[in-house]
Amino acid sequence: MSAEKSILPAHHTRPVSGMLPDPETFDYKHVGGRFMGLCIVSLASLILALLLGLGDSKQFAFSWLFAGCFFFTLLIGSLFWVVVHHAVDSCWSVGIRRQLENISCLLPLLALLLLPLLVVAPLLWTWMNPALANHELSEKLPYLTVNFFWVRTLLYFVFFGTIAHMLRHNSLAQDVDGAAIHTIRNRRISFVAIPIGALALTFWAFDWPMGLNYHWNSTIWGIYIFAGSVIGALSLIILLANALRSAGYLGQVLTSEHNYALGKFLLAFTLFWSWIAFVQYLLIWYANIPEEAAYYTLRTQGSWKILGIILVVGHFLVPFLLLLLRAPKASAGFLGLVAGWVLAMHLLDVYIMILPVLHPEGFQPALLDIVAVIAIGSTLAAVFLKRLGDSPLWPARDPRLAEAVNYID
Amino acid sequence: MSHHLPIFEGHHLPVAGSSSEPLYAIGGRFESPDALVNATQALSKAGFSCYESYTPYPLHGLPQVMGLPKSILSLLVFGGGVSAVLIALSMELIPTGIIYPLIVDGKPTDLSALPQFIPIVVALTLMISAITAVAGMILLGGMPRLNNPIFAWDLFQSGASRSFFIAVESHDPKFTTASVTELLHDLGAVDVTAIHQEPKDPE
Repeated sequence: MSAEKSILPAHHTRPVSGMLPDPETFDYKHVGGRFMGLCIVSLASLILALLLGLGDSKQFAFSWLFAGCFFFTLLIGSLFWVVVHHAVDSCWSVGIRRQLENISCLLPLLALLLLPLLVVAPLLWTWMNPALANHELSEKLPYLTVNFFWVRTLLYFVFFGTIAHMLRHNSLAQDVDGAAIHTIRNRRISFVAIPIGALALTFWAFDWPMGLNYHWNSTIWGIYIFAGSVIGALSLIILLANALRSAGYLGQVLTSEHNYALGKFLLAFTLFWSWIAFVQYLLIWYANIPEEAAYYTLRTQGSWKILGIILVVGHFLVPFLLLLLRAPKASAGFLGLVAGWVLAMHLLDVYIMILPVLHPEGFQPALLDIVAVIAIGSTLAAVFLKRLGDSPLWPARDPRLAEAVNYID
Repeated sequence: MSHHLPIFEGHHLPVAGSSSEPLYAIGGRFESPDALVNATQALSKAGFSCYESYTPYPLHGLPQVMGLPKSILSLLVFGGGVSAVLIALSMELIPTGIIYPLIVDGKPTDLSALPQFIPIVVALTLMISAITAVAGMILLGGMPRLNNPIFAWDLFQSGASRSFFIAVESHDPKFTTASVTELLHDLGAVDVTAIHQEPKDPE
């Protein structure tokens, strides 16, 4: 046997079958009367919120902002996953991409639902009060002016909404003609969207949640909001994929390998969120400068401290330990449970950002908090469901679809 | 493919190593990862236990068809991580909290000032987990090892980075030269070779 003997190069890729899964479209027979039920819940809770809000406009303002911020972060997180899918030419996430596109395209509707904030804004962002003129505010004057604030807010929604609709539009056009140019166009849009979107989300975070206390500043705040958005949207898409699978859809494109990929991302972003949250806390705690520490002083006193401890344990320790194991990550049911838990923790995270400003003396649950979440959530869900059947449940002719179906972790 | 050598029966097989030394194994080369996985499954079903499947990169499903149990590496890494947390906390809290309390900036030195101890806990956990993972992988993989008798096979030496091999070792209870040669040939192996050990250096 000679050492010079030639050896044929091995086939380094597994053969991918040329068979594409048959596109599925959502059939409304699975929804039945539940869609009407959702519309009734939405309408009833919107009216209830309005009535309660007329009674206690300050509580309404904070509850509505709380629910608005929660859903805004979920929609922006979904948009992030679509953008990053296109930017890195990802293959594993083709099967869930259409649903992420559908969620992120609810942004204009959310903007509409948040219009009441225009009326109650001075109750939330006290710097808008013209009677309040002090040296600190005059130093921040070119930035903190009412008109500029609303122009910025408009720009955030227009920018994110446009990107979301452009990406979905190209994706739908590809369902018809199957041309690869749509993928390339979406990739270019994503390259532009990443740097601008990072800045837009950061400044949104400065303007909306951070602006509740105009003394306070934290330069890592934008990343903290981003980390929460991404993990919230990831939990949401896991739950949505499970719901669609239990109705008999997506079985052709999602396997336990995709569950495992989603589980790994959930673990990774649990760690990312925890680290960013800790870094912000550590630096503020250690430096102990009054205007920085005010944020945590408020949230580590009285009953707020208990909620803070629940957040640390529930948003970090519980999902971290549960997701360390390999087998549970591949199981859709278990992953769904963890995702539901993480989504609830994201809700708590946003709650602790907003509500202590209204109730500095301690945790004070209000009916309006729940009504606001249900009102905005059910309205978004109803419109999502209404549009779900308009397009195939996954990008039917995406160039990477065959690869995505055969994805092996 | 003209370079294939004909397959001979019994001891007329191509021989690698020194034929005066004991037989180590019978090896065969496979042309695709799927062929390797299929052949491994067939060997496993036929009741062989002392064989190795060699591949240049991890193959999905290969450990399962070989019947290998789940590696204990993840448990070792978890243990490494947990002990790192304990080591880091005691290295920080015993000296600065108990033996010689060092009050900086008016901060307490016990567990109520936990945040300041966390960065070192995280860093040490990462380091010890990573070292456990790498060292555990090497040790559980049977390394370090100075030599493997299969290195006597020239074809393996030159092709291990791009080809797929199976070697059925001679101490397998079901091993006979004729049956293994025939089986490997039936499973689609090419270059089936009897691998003998290399002569030991004269002392």
